[in-house]
Amino acid sequence: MKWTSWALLQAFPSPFFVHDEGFNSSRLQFALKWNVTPFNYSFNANELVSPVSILMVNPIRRYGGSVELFLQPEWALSTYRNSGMKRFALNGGTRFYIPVSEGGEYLSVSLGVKYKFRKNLNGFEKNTTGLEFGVYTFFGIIGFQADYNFTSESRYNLGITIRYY
Amino acid sequence: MKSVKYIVYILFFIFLFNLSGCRTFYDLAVNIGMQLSKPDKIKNKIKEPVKEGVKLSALWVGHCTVLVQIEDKVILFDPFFTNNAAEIQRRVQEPGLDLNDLKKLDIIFVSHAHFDHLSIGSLKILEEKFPGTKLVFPEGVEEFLPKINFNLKKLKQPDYKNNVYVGETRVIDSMKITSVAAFHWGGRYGLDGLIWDYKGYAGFIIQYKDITVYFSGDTSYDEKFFKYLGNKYSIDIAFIPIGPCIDCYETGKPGRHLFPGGVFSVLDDTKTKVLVPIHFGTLYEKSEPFEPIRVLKELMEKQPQYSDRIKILEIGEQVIFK
Repeated sequence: MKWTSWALLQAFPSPFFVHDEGFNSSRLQFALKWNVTPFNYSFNANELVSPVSILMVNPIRRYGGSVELFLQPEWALSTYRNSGMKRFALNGGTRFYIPVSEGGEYLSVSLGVKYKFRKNLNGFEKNTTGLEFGVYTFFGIIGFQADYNFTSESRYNLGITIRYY
Repeated sequence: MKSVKYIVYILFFIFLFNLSGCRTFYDLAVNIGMQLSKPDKIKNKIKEPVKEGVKLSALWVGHCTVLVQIEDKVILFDPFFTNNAAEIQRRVQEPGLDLNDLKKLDIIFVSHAHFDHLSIGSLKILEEKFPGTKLVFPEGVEEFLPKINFNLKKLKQPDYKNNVYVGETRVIDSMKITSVAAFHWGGRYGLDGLIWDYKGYAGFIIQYKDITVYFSGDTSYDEKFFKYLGNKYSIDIAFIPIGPCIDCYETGKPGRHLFPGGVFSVLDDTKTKVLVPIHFGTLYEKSEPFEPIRVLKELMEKQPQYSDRIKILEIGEQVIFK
């Protein structure tokens, strides 16, 4: 029951905008992403609990100060007509959380690096690296994430993260 | 312009929810509106909360936070000293104790991990002032505790669903401490307690020298349990929540909270000498902050035989038994 309901909650997507740049035109593309945490190590775990979490991470441990590996599948709602990329991409990377207020529960920020796996419409790999910045509130249920990617075809991503545990 | 239109739609939606009478949305709207307000000042705060020659004293700090002195021992229950609970719930009155005036603290109790009882910000303030202090809580609460410089003491949670009302008794700092049942729910972030059945909620019996103190935590009324307490312990003082409530004249909502209408039954069942009502007057939830105590006073007028056993404290007020 616990894992089933948790998995259902994780299926709820986080909406964001992706920069879609071509030779002559540029626009923002609407997309959805999901967050998966294969591994999290918390610096804020007390002596009675494990600092390591797999998949399900208690907000007090994640946003109270931690480092984690993440996977982020993303899906654009329409084609990238400027850059000619496929709709699906997969981000993988690592990020640090730093608590700002009330042990990170009320306010926390993150800084991460990631590698984005994506292909263009011709099937050629157009992978890229990027930086990620995040601000989270309401125990991490709501947050804002901004990406800076090292490619001119999709320089900026900006969106909301919605997450429970 | 489109985004403005959407914002107007959302605000209209919230307005409709309020009109529908949905209490959660109403409370949410009220608390959002209060974010810029400052909690009311408490005048004449006690400057010397811990005194020599006191057998038993209780100072109500507000909500469920109570400072208790039993002879040479000083205990703090469910410390909540910050301005917000759960980020959005705004305190309407400031704490009735200035922590700078507290010179000694032996044990902190946390009854469960809900935001108005386990306040991380408050624990951090106490950690700076009283590092290494013993922090007692029922098992399950540790899931929601940060890394903190307290001496953590976890007590077993009673399995009240199988009529087991006592979790564990341990002697901590010369005090005999027992975790007892609380008819509530656990977790911290909503669904974790309601659906995932996270544990971590209990009341406490503290026995030191010839004094017995009962702090119920959040609980609803259960006749069998309270009669069990009354038969097993000779309770000198009990701190019992009377809110939040909507149907405040009722006994309570099973598995959630006790209401003012249930206070007399608790007194009868537990045979408590003095009952101090708590869990009101600080946060806006389900009713006006002082509605529970208004109803209790009204009920007490109809049943005056209980009046000398119910001690209603103002925030910041201290009752002393010598």
